[in-house]
Amino acid sequence: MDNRSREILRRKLTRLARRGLLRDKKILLFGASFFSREVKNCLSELGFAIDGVIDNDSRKIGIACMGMRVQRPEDALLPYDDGFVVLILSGGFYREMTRQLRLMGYSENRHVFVLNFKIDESPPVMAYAAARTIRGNAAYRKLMQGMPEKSVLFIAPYTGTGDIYLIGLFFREYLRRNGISEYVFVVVSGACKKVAEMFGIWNIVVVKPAVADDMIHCRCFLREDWPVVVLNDGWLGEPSQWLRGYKGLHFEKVFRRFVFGFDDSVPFALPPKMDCREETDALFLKHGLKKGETVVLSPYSNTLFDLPGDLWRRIVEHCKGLGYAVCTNCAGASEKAIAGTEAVFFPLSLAKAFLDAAGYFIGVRSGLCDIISASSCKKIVLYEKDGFFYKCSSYAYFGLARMGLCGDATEIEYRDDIREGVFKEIKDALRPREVN
Amino acid sequence: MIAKRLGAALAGRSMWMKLKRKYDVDDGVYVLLMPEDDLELNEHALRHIDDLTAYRKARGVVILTDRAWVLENAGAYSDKILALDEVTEREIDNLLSFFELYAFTERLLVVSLTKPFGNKLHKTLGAQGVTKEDLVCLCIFLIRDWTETERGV
Repeated sequence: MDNRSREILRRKLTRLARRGLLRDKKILLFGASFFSREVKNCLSELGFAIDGVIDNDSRKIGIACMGMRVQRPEDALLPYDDGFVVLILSGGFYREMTRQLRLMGYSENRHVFVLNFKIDESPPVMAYAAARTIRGNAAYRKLMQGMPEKSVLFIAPYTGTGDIYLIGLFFREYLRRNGISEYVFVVVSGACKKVAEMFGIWNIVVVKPAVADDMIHCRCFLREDWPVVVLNDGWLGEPSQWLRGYKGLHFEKVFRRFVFGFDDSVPFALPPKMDCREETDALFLKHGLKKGETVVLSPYSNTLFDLPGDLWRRIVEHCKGLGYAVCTNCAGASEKAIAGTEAVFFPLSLAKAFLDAAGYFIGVRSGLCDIISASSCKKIVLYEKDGFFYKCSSYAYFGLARMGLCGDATEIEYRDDIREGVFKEIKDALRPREVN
Repeated sequence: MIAKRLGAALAGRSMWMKLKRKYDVDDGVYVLLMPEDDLELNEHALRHIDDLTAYRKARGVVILTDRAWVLENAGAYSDKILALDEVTEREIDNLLSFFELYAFTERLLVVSLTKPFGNKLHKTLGAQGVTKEDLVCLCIFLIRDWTETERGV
């Protein structure tokens, strides 16, 4: 999801909540997709839970999505029930979806709410698009002002730190092959900047997400041959995104082939090793952790799923029973430590060193998993089983071993009905290690 | 430069609004813009029109093209083709200009691996065995459950 769409989603849901339109209603999400989680997260922040997920895609009917079974719209919504609210987040299909619901008796702005920006041909929308183009042009010129003639503007428009890590693995080789010595490297968050710095990328500028989008958009509209490289496959509706997960085109492959144009022969260039012993030792001392016998839990992910709280507590109990210290990686005020553990914050640049020293990592798949993929710690990474990501499962797309990032992780797909099996796999993977 | 491009986009908008009214596009119609001479690509698009209309629950498609082969042969591929309009290269460019300003509708499908500007599909062809048929069905028509083994020739 691009950054602007996320802002609009949040604004629309907040408005619905404030107007009382979601109160005492059965809330259904139309579309079991990667974006559903964005809607669910936002609803959760506003104090609402979803009651069901519906989808027209026959492949998804009956599968679990965020703890619920996906249903056909007709099965969930007929006979007509005024108590339903259906939320739609689909820039590409919202007209079809509202039409389908209207035929079932559910009217827009009473039962049906479209959460994406309703793009149409109207003059105000066209004027808005033109204004964005003009802003993008100005932003580009300002960034490139004063740069030498053959400079290149790299734009990493997504906030995911895992994306930046992947970019870093190929970046040096890309510069070499294309004879690039001068560049501006644009990212959209401080965290992304820190990951880029790990690879020795320099001249990094942090811009607002909308500014990054405006520059990309402007280049396309002007059909300018600007020296701009967009470090994402399929951003802002570019159609190659629909190949994600198809015929083995996983996360690493799409960056390798479609972003950088490399074949499989190009090796990863891991970030340079840094001596972080002093900072790592300080953190261990501060939090009372044990080298080689500390389990770092990472329960938070911006894009994928959450493991139930009671399962985390059982994991904590088991780890403590083995004599391990247990801490939770908490990156901000909203991220609380799992009960019975110490909340620990370490900067991304320190992550690998910290995990090397700790010995164990258990987390839901997130960008942090990419960053620590080369760590010597025992890595246990969890994915949502049946979680779709474009043409495949989350595990098939983001699996660390499949991507070639590490071959020693225990990667487990989780679903509620197999939780005992998952817990056993985690316990089996947690064996006492020799302290190095 | 921006002013010139906005002028082209405005002309494209005007064309689109006429099309919308003429064919009642909002009531389940998709417009296929076919600006390329790529015979294989065009054939895949025409052969999958029925798949497109079924998946999208559409009433039918209207084809816009300046390509002689498409004008002469498209009708034989599907009875879901509601109209086949010949347009000029300039009209195509204006419509694309409007689409490049912003994707104002989901009902315009451009059968091309390079257009609108920024389209990188041509770079994906052949990767992991990706075919033109895959690109048409998955990336242009957005038939989400498309897989070559199930539907391919």
